[in-house]
Amino acid sequence: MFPINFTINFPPFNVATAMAGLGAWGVIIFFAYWIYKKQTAKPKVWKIAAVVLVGFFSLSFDVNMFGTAVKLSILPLGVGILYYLLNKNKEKWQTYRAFAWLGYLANFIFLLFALLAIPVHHVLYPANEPSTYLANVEDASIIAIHPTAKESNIHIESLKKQLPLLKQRPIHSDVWYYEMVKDKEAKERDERFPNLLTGTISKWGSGLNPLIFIEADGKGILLSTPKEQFYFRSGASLLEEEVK
Amino acid sequence: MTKKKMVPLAAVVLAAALFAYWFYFSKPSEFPANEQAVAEINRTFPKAYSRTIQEAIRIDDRHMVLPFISKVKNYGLSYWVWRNHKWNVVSVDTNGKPSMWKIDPTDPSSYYLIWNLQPDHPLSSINFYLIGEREYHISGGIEDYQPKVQMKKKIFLQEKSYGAVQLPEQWTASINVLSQAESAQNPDVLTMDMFPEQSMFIGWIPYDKAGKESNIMFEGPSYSSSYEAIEELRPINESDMERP
Repeated sequence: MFPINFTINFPPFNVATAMAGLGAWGVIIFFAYWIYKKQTAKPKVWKIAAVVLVGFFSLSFDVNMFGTAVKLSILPLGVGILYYLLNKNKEKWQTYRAFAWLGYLANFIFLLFALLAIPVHHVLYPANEPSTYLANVEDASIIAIHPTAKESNIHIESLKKQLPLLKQRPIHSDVWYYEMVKDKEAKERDERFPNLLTGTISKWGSGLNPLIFIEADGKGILLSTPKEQFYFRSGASLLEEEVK
Repeated sequence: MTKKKMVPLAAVVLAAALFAYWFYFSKPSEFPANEQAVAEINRTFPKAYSRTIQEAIRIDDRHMVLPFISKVKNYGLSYWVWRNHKWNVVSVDTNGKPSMWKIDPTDPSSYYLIWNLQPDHPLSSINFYLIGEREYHISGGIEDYQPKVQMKKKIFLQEKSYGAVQLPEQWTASINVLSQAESAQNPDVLTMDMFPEQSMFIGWIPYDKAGKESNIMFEGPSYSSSYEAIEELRPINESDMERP
């Protein structure tokens, strides 16, 4: 009587973001090595790493760039702290100064790679392609979230067949809203999207996890991602009408 | 360190580990008898004036709910948790209003609806509803439509006017899907809000013997105190329900 339920609480794996992170680390390590080579004083590697990491610490604020929230560093706090700690010994500071600033620069390297990841993500996972979000529909099923939902389940074969044929249509959110609500008492109201689709899997590595609603007539899909929504119509119904 | 010193140290560590295991992880002991439970409720929350335990409802190994009747004939609820090697009263409510206990706040399948209503009040059933409001937004040419969520669970009160039920599987599934979509949007949510995005809530409507909506009143002194994730549910009206 106790259904087992796993709630995934970590964000899904995003290939573009992961690659960007690795790329940024690569560039930072490359620069660190380059500075190290040029210097006459050769400090221990773990000390360099520590200085770079402290140098990374900065005062930043969040800005929205191309629909992505990014951190913009403005004050090199870490460099300041390192200067305070190390400048008593001028030679020591000379040795570590470049690494401290590299740590601060790392903020911008990460930012640059995060921005590069956006178009890469768009190419790998087109936002307006249903197949991005419905890569695997073998275990799809629907939950009726409104009393007007038909007693029916998703027709998986039909969904698979219709996926490449779906046509994107504009969203008329205000029209839809007032269609349901205007001049109607609560007890007369229908819902245009009374079904929630679950059990589907987005394309591997997309990191996308949209809400998917199925329209009352079984021929519409409303995809709701944190950034925007997409609406698709199919020629045939995606619902398995219950035979009674 | 010499071998001589090692042996007693290892013994102390082992003893500490065994004690910690016994203290935190050992199987809960037998639940206290009713008279003891009444005494414990009144010791923890003197204003509860508990007199009679109606039933000891087991939620799981470590969680119990004991509906009780007070000296002044109030129908109340006491919540018990096996913790620190002891059964603790963690919350008492002298009104027995429908509430939800989130045993594990991160897992909606562990949420329980719990109530204890006056049996002399002529109620026949309660409808519990999971509600999410229909919304639309238009900004900068981007349109967004959130469908209405309205899911129902009916409970009959003929035999007992108290009880505890797990959230229906369908509710759990849709809460999981809706809150996962939210965590993708806002990955560093430190606040563990149950339904952050959709402003969802659980409400209840009581029905009398004639099957009509009842305006049950909670009279008399009320006292409640809670250390746990227990939320009172919102009373709602049938006139606000769509297609009842």
